[in-house]
Amino acid sequence: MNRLKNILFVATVVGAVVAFLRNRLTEPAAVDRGGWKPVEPPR
Amino acid sequence: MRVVVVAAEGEATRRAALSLSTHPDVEVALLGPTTSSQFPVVDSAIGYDAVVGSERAAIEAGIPAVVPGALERHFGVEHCSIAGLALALAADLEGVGTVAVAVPGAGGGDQEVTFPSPIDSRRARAESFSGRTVFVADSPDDVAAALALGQDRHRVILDDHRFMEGVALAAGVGVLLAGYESGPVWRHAPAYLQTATEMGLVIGERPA
Repeated sequence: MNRLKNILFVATVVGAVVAFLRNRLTEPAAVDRGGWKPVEPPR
Repeated sequence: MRVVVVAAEGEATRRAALSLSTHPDVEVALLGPTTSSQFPVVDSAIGYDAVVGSERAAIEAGIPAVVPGALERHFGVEHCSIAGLALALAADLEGVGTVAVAVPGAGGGDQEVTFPSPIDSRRARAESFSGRTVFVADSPDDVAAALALGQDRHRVILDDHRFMEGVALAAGVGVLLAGYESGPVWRHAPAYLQTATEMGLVIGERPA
């Protein structure tokens, strides 16, 4: 029983680490702003 | 340093006072009757450099007015409004096609104008501002936009409606700071837009 608990615990920790790394390493989704870019006022 | 009196007659003028108080070259007082814990309240605009929001008080004091609409009997900076922002954005664009604004509660019309999200496509009606045509459309929630579509470039300012309205009024003082005493904001667009961006508005631009 203890062994099963240890396996579940380790699997949970490994899963969390993998999910964290995947989020950090994935490219952020491109935000579509319709081509608008902030500019300085005309002079 | 300019010392201006703001006629605190509504939310736009109160917000304009707050925006002006952030400007390093402007001191603000409110024209009574009103109460304020933030600004001095005065009975008259005599001795000040400009009145924001009241042509009548400016006439009495003999100083320039800064108003959201057109001036009828006095000199000063006119059309310090969201429509004025749109016309100022269009001032140096080549081949201007459409100048439009979207404000909450404006109603609709028969001309379709596409604003950036979240306003998107809206029905607008043409209105004249001292001889300049601006298409006016309804917008959802509390968002407003000023849009100018030129032949090569499109420009937009999109923000919270009340904030934008207050800054649009307050930025008229920037025209006075630049040394001009009268005219609609689009005639002094660089000074007007520079002040508006210093007060927190952002101009967006994209190729046509």
